[in-house]
Amino acid sequence: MPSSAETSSAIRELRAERERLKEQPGRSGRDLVEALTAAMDAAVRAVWREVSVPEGRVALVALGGYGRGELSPHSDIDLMVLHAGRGIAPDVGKGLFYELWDAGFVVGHAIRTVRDSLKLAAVNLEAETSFIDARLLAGDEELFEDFRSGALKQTRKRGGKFVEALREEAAERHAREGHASYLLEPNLKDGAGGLRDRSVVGWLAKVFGGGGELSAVEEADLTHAGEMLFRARNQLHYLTDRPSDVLLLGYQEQIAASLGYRGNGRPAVDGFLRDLYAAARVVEFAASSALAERLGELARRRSRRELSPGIALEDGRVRITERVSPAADPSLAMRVFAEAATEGAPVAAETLGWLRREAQAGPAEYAWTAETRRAFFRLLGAGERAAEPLEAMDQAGLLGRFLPEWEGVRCQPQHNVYHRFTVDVHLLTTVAWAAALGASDEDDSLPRDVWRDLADRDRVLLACLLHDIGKGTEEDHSVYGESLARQICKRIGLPDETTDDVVWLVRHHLLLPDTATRRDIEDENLVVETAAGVGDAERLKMLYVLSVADGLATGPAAWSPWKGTLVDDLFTRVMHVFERGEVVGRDASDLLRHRTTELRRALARYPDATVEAHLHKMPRAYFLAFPTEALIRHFALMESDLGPSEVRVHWTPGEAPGVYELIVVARDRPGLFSKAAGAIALNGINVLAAQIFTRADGLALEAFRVEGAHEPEIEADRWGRVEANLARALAGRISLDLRLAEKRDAYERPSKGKREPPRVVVDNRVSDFYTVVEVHATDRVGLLYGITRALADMELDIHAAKVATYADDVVDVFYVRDVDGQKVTDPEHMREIERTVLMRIGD
Amino acid sequence: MKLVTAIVKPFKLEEVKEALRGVGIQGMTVTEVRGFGRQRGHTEVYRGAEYQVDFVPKVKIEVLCDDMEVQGVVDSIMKSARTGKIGDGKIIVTGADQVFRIRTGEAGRDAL
Repeated sequence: MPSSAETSSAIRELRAERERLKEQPGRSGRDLVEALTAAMDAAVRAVWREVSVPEGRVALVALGGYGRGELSPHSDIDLMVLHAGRGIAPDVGKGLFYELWDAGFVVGHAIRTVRDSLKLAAVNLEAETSFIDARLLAGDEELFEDFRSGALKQTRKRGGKFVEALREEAAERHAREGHASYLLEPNLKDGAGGLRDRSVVGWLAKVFGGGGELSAVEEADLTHAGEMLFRARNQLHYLTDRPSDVLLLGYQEQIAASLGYRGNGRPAVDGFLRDLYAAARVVEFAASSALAERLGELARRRSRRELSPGIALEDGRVRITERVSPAADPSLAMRVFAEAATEGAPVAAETLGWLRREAQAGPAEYAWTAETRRAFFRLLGAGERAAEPLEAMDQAGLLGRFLPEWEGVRCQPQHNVYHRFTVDVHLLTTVAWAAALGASDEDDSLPRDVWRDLADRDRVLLACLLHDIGKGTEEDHSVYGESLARQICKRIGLPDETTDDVVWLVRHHLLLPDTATRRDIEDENLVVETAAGVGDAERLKMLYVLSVADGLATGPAAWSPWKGTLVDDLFTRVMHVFERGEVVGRDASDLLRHRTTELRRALARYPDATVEAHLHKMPRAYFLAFPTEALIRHFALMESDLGPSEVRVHWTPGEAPGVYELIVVARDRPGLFSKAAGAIALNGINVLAAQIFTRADGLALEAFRVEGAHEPEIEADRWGRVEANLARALAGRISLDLRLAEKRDAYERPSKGKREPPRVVVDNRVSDFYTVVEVHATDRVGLLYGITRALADMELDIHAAKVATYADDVVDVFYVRDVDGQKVTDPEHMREIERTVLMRIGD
Repeated sequence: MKLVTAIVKPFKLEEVKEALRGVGIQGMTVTEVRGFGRQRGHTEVYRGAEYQVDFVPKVKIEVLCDDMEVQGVVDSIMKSARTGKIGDGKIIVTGADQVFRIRTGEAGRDAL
């Protein structure tokens, strides 16, 4: 046996030939694997003759990829020595194997009889498939023919079992290696749509006969797709100098360049990956439909059920039974996929192949009808069951016929740490996730409950399908996507209202996650602004579902309980703004803009800086709470600063006779509101409602709606007394406690039989930002003063107050926060507030 | 050498990062974490139904620094992460006995 030192001339020639091939980058992928195979054949035959031509009936057989003639630069070499069983030396072929091993090749080797081979094939799928590709290299032709026909016959006989085993193997392999058709780092061999799937199509054809009508993919397309995969894999082997199959990110740029891709303003690697993904999809589609088709054929159940006109479920596959070209009636092409999604059954390969050919024949765009629309939304709404039909639709080239804009994102890779999929697959996955949210069986699933509450799910589903449609250009994808979405809605023929929602959702699909992670959601202004930006509760719910589905479809790097909790929190807070009925409707932003513009104009004579500071430092809700004229009046009161015990009071007649608007401006301090309420009560005036706005520089504006306690009209000098009393109280010159007690004694208290004892409820559920203190009591002079004095004692900051009087009964509601600006959630603290208020207003 | 670990509100991350950069800190490790302190978890209410959130999302920032730098690092985090409300988080300073840079094998202060 020759040692490695005296390498045979055949191996030297092989090496030289392989080096030569490596230096010829212009070759096609197919050409290269054939040339590599031919070189290997020549060497193997020569060495076989040199070292091991044995006596008797023997054949040297190439198996698997080598048998198919598809050697990539670092592929394994599968060899088998076939013998007739008698009088054969046990080490037959060994010389050949050693020679190859010593030369550095990875050689799979076996020495078997025909019978042993068939036995093995019966229990080992890998061996069974490698035999399908067997090729005679040297030796006894008759023996080889026995083996080959025996193996084929055996496999054919296994029929359905063989196909089922192939399908299981493919499913396992895909689950393990993922999809070559959209993963950022595709496995070119074992991934879904990889070279092994291409072999599956070949094996089925070799065992059971040709594809023809039964194939969803034309032979030429499959050859073309295989060529792309070979080219990429060959380069990957050369680049890594190893039999690598996973196209890692680090290699992609170099391979794209070596394959001649030039980026025209975009990364060259994008063009390469798009071609690669498109090729892998053709292969994946061909393999999955071939497997499904073959299983259906072999099942021989012959079941048939009419699903809708022209469409039937036959042997578990959805088939078009009355072919009308989609060019004439596109709705049929949409309906067949909707039926497939509803049934959870695949579309027959024959139907897919026909649709694919029709799509390629034109026209470039299919018109939408009412029937198409209905089927389309039925398809989108099928949840996880929609995934396969949508992919099949894409692979058959139909999606782009219905939605030409889809071509822009088809196979479009995404270069960031979050996304694992291409844009189009991400979009389809988002649709599936959205519809699947409703099926969650978790105990407390906010997304599920919101999904179930949606008034119109079609809008969300369409927004899910389109939210990233603007990706793949230099422009901001939300902005570009907005215009594409509008175009698409128009093409589909949707009503304006639906279109507006879908377009808005596409434009703002990142609003919730961005706001929740980057802004302080405990800031009420932010939440109210967000509510104003969204416009209404229904849109908010849709946006929330889209955000969750988008996150889940992107993957664990983008969506975690961490982010989910933040988004949930923001969503519920914004929702509560709508539920409280605050002025944040879609027009609120317009109104705000309108009012600030008017205000700027009216205040033109003041210095710009003063006006702008006022506009920026007053809370947003303030500008929505009053008409422009009132805002102008208020500004005059707040324009210049006040001293600590200075106060400005202004009154105007209110909207109803006997009702007045009273404005009090002073520097904010604990108990200010209480003192104002006391000064008002002291002058025989009842408070009906109150709002408090504090400017960021510490100036407070308290707006009271009031009426006379005893007579409908309040004369002018009484307002002056309110101002004087308040100023003196703030300066510590008079005691409101004392004055009010005196006044109270002067009035007979109403005593109408039994009086309900006062009641105080401290509640944290009404508002996200404030603790609400609700007081039920019988009306009396200075009641509001007493309550708010108690709240001030507890160092609570009053944000707003509502006062309602029913005959003698009063219900006062206060929105408060503690000294740290927090809600009061400690039960003991809450109880203390309750007791303090009761102590103040009790008898 | 010290390891400074700060737990802060998520939206404060950018500010803290900038502040640390301001005091010359070159690198940091950031992790999305969940937990609770005195703030406890909270309940979200949607249409009357309650959704319990036991762990509040926070961001954990870890910074290695020289003993001399600790005060500056702590101060800058304290200042930039503060909102004055409950849930502002914590800063923990622990000793780092040894530090190595894997690529070069540098050790101690050189590895910071």
